[in-house]
Amino acid sequence: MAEKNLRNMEWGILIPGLILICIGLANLYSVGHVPEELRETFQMGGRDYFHRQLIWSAAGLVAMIVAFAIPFRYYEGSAVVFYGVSLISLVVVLLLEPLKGSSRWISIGFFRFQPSELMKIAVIFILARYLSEKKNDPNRFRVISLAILVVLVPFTLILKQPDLGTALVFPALLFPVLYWRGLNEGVMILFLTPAISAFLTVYSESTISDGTYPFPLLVFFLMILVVAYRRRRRLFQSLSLVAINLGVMFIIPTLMDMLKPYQQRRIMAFLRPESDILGMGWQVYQSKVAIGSGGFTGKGFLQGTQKLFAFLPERHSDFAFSVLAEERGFVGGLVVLILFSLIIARGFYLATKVKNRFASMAIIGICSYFTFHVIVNIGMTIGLAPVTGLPLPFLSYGGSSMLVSCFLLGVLLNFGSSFYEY
Amino acid sequence: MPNRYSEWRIRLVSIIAALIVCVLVYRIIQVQIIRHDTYSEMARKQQKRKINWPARRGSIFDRNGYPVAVSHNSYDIGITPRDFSQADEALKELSEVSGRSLKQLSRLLRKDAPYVPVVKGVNLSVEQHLRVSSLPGVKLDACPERLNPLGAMTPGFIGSVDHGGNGNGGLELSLQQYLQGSDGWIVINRSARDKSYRSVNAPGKKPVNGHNIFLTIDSGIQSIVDFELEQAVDRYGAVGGAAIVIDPWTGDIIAFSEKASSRGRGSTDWRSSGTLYSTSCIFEPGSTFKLVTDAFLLEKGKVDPYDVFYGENGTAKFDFGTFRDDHPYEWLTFKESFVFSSNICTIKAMGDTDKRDFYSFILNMGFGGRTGISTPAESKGRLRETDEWSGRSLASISIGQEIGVTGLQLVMAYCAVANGGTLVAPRVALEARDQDGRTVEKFPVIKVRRVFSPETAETMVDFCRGVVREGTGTRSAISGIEIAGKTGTAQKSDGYRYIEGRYVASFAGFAPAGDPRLVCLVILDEPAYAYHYGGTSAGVAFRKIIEGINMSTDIFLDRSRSMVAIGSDDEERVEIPNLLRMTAGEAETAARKLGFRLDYSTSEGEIFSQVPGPGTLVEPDAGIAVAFRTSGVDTNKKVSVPDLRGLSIRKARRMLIECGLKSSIRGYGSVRKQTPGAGAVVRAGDNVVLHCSFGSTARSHVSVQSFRRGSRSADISRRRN
Repeated sequence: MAEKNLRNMEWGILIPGLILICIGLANLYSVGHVPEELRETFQMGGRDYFHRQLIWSAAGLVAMIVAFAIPFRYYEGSAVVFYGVSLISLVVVLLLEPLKGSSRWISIGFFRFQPSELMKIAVIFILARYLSEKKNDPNRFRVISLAILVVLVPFTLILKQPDLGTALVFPALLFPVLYWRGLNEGVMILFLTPAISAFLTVYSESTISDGTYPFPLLVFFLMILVVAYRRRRRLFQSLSLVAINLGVMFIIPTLMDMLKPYQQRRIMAFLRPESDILGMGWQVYQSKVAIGSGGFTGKGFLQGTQKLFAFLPERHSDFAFSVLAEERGFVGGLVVLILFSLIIARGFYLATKVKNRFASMAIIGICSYFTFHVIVNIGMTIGLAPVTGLPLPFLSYGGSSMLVSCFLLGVLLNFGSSFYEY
Repeated sequence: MPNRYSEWRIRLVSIIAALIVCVLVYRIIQVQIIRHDTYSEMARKQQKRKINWPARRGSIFDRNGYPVAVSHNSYDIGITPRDFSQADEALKELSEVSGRSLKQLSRLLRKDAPYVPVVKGVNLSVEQHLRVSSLPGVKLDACPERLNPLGAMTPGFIGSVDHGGNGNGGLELSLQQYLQGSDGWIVINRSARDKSYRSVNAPGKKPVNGHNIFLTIDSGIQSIVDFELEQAVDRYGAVGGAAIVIDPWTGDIIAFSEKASSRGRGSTDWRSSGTLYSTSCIFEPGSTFKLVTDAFLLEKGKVDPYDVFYGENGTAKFDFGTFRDDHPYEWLTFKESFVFSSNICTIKAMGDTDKRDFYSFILNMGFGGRTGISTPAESKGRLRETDEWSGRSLASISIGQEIGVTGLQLVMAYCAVANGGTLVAPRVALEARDQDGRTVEKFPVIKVRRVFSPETAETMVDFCRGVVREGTGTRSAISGIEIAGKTGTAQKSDGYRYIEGRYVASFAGFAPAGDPRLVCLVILDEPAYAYHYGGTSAGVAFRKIIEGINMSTDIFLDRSRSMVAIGSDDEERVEIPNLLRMTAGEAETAARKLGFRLDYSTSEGEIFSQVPGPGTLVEPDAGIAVAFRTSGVDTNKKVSVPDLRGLSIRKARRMLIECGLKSSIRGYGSVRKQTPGAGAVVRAGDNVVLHCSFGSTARSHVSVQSFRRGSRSADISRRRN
């Protein structure tokens, strides 16, 4: 079977993946690099991210090969057990002593890993397995409730760590898979629009206080009305769509008012970092300065000054993209985006091509994983998304993230090379 | 699931994903390309800092290259307790440098502040600087300081430098444009943790250091003048005094001294240290101004030196008022009216002079206008327009009343007499040189105008000679150098009337009279009544200054100038040999060979002083006065102490020196008592204490600097008695 796999290797996924790993390593090398004449003045915080990441990348390649080699039916078979183990480790991590104010890591010897990363894989597989069964029509209440429950449990546990960013990954995995499985668009819209309405409402509140009209909210509401009119034959769905969204738009401000001022400020700063430059917005501000000052072609490899003079926070992990954009400019950033897009696009294509339903579902889950991470992370660096701490796959420093990303890439390759199997 | 329906779904999802990516890309374009310049500017602003790179202020030297004012850095030391390593060595080091005890330091370190100042204005050696600046958490701030290595000579004249390195008063301010240089700048990188670093290729501009200025001041002469002036202010109980020594040919200010007594600091003219009395304060010159009057009368041919005037026995009633002389005179020639300073005769000589003529002559002599010295706040003096003159004014002004002059204006007028009739502008600086020693600018001698003819000048010199030879200024005479000058005694006024008992005593003169090398003016403000005459106080101070200069320099023996004079008119003259450090026998031989006569009282030891000095051209059969001194090491020789009582200090000192004894002086005036007493036999080199008629109990010890080392042996010799 290995021979067949190799013959049908998905080069369109493997090569961009490997290039991204290399870019990530070079980027981390630059982060840790201090020019000779500055060594005395600017001592970088002790850790040698580059060499550690080198080891993680090697481990990631092994994980990719393993993921590629395992017959894909084993994934389907072990999904429930895997989910169970992940769930237990998530509970365990909550019971352990908090580290840096949150309980995200489990230490095994010198090795520390985040069970939440493991959970991402587990959720993808269990959703794929559950929904791939013919009888489980997502439009049935029981099925959709169970699917939501499967996601809600880890979501809640991770929220308790607390790690909102990672927790949000799970709903982001759920809905694409559900939709792909055939969830009614109306239901889908019913689920998603209130969330968007809520976001836009809070966002609009701050813009109103800035003296501008909440155009995004109005436009969005018009879109809802149009959709409701188009689907007027399902009168109940349409009306409840409008009613729920209207309700959200009116309840949210009331809820906001009930919060204490500092809580309101935190929510605002989370949604609009630029409103609080000295506090939560500092990172985003500095990130934008880094990216913006990079320009079209960048300052050159190792030449980033925002990075060097430590203005850019978390430059090895959350804001790795900012370093890249500062040193390699718009071109560098675009290349990374294109490479991710290639992987994701090829993944979507694969999802329609593979004959196995479980594989198809899983591929959609994996693609969602990459898409969500890339959009949220890069969006964060340019002030479009809240600062959540979601890593950019392959580029951000971090063992768990690297292993999971590589593993999932391996799974993609695995499914791709055996697309003809039922 | 390859069916049409699901393909539509995947397309929708792809489109949504693509849209979101497009939004991302749009945003990146916006940040990175459209607003690139804005963000670059933001990055530059927070990462780079332009720092001023201060230029070094030029130094000020005297005319011989001795430093007068130089810049130096002192340091303010502060600590950041958070970063300071509490190690013992660091604490010890800091304690040693700052002078704070370890306990004090550890108290400071406990403070919860980002910066705690430890000590200000410390001087650090290069080595200390290196060690201290390498301690973590210690911050050194350099504060530029201006040092005056030769001591502060008349603070207001040199001026000072403020914290910003700018001149603050005096020459430091007026020569600012030469001294300051121009600051440069550098761009340094700054990290988010506020560490800074200058990268190799960072842009910047090197500062151009200020130029060094060479003054016309001679610090040696200046110190003599400072010392003698201080003594004079003290001795004569003046509130303050000023003395200017100036080269009449170039206008070079050789010494510029001002001293306020502790009493004087309460009086208006001497209150602020920044104001220069000689340039900013005006006074009525009194008789010293008669030089101008007489020069005017001679120049206009209105009188002849030997015209005779009646002195009215001291009180004369004119149409315009009554004038008095301090000493009653009967008939005086015009010259004698100057020599004895008769107001009445001077006024009579003025006669019916047109006041406008006189006014314009005074203006021409530089009164009523600034001399152009480059010290700040120079006064024009007070000279009223002729329209505002009363009937009395012409007479008053002719004897130096109703006119306000500055000391500098007055001394420039004497320069004009000394140099043959040309008014020169005072010059304070010779040249400016850059840091590599290249001359940047030479300050020219400025001859303002010819104010009277050489003949008038010659006559005036003769008048001035008379003053010292037989007139009011006899106490200014010096053996060996002919002095010419004029005394001045003016009552001070409060603007409406004269104040009883308050005078300004002045003496202006030059030496040698025949070939003036230096002009010197001494002004004493409000001396004690016993000394209120210019001749008794300022004149004496003048003499001491000239004596001091003569003893320490050869400025009065300018060979080149006298040689020229010889070649033209008198071939008979012979150069006086150098007899210094010779014994009596050697000197006799040398002198006789050239046909000179030696003149001395004792002849033990070596010659330490001769008058006229070596190189002077004199008649072949002239006498040379020499003074001997036994060499200091020969202490075994016994000497008997001469009787010094009743002698002036100067004479007593000279006698003691001739005997090989040292002296220390208590008080001033003439010698009242001496220890050991006359006839006592002491060892050569011992000290004799001279108790003088004034102030010997009031001020415990006024010792002449050069003899200060003798004071201990004085005590020994007293015990021996």
